[in-house]
Amino acid sequence: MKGFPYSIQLVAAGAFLLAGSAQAHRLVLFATREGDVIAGKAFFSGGRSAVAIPVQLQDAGGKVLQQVVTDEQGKFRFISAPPEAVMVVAESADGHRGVFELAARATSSGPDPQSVATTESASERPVVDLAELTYRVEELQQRIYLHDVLGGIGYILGIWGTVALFMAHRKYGMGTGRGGVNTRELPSASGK
Amino acid sequence: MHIAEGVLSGPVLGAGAALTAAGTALGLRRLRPETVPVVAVMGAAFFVTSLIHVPIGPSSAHLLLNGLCGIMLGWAAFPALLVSLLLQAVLFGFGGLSTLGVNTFDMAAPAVLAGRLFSWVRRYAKSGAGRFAAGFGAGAVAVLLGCLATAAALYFSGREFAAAAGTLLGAHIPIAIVEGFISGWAVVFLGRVKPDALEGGLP
Repeated sequence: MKGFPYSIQLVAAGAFLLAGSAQAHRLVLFATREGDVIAGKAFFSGGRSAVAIPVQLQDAGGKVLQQVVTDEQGKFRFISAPPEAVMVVAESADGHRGVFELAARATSSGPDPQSVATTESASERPVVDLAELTYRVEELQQRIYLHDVLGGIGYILGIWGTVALFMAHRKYGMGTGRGGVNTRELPSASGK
Repeated sequence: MHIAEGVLSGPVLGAGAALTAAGTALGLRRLRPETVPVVAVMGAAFFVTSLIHVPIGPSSAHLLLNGLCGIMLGWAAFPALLVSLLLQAVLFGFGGLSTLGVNTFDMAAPAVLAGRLFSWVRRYAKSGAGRFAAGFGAGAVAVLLGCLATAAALYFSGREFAAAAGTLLGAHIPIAIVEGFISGWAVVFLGRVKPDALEGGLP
């Protein structure tokens, strides 16, 4: 335990940190509706796919309608999904949870198959692009920015600084309602 | 290790909030103005290290530093981690406001226990190696107990204990080893330059 072990431990710890400086692990998912199919993707914030996680399709009351499991890219797919508004809910075994709400299908109930088909083929390309775009936007939103981290550190130091201020006031009796710090009551000045 | 909103049942959320409130009250009552800066620094360290994620298996894990918090802060680990977890929930959406009590308890209770464990072992281990071992043990134990506490919270909310504990422990055993080294190293370093910083775990 003398000399070089500390430096080795420090380097090992540092390498471990840097090697895996991926970002946070909030479970995020999004889904799009294409006709009867609801397809989407689940990922941990930072972009890593959420693999083999159960995803449920729930109605507005929270009743489970269908359940599937994400594939190795975090993708999932519900076939013959109901046209009503639904919630897509993913939950991992260790307590991460993501929810995505989908509005009711725009086409009126009981459409003739032909009109659905034409709608689908007409909007096929934009829908795919939209999904990709949604994913990118979600990814950017989940990103942790340096200014957030610095802001958080600032809050923590500020909160505890305020606590220290109040505790010091109580202990040393500074600022007793007359505004400002009364230096005559500082411990150094009063010889305590 | 941050449990999200909507996963836990009402009684578990209530119990977590009550236990965290009690721990925080105790921590604040024992807090001295001189140690508040240490609380701030450890809270900030906990806040930042939770953002460095390491992908392990189907989940991802991050360093916790709760063992070191317990060694240095004792019961003040409760208010320290509460503030940091609150900011993580508000700024980054880790965990959630309703689960704040449970998430704080899951991290801070093992921290306090690890602090006690450390100060007890250190009484019998006077050498540098013994002190390192005490720090290593406290750092690793705090992580593993945190996993079990989180799995227990999920279990009492109707989830499967074995699945949750298995996933969490699988991801956190490497973390526990790394944290053991960090805590051991920090303890040996602090023992040289500022021995009184290690008194937090004393009852």
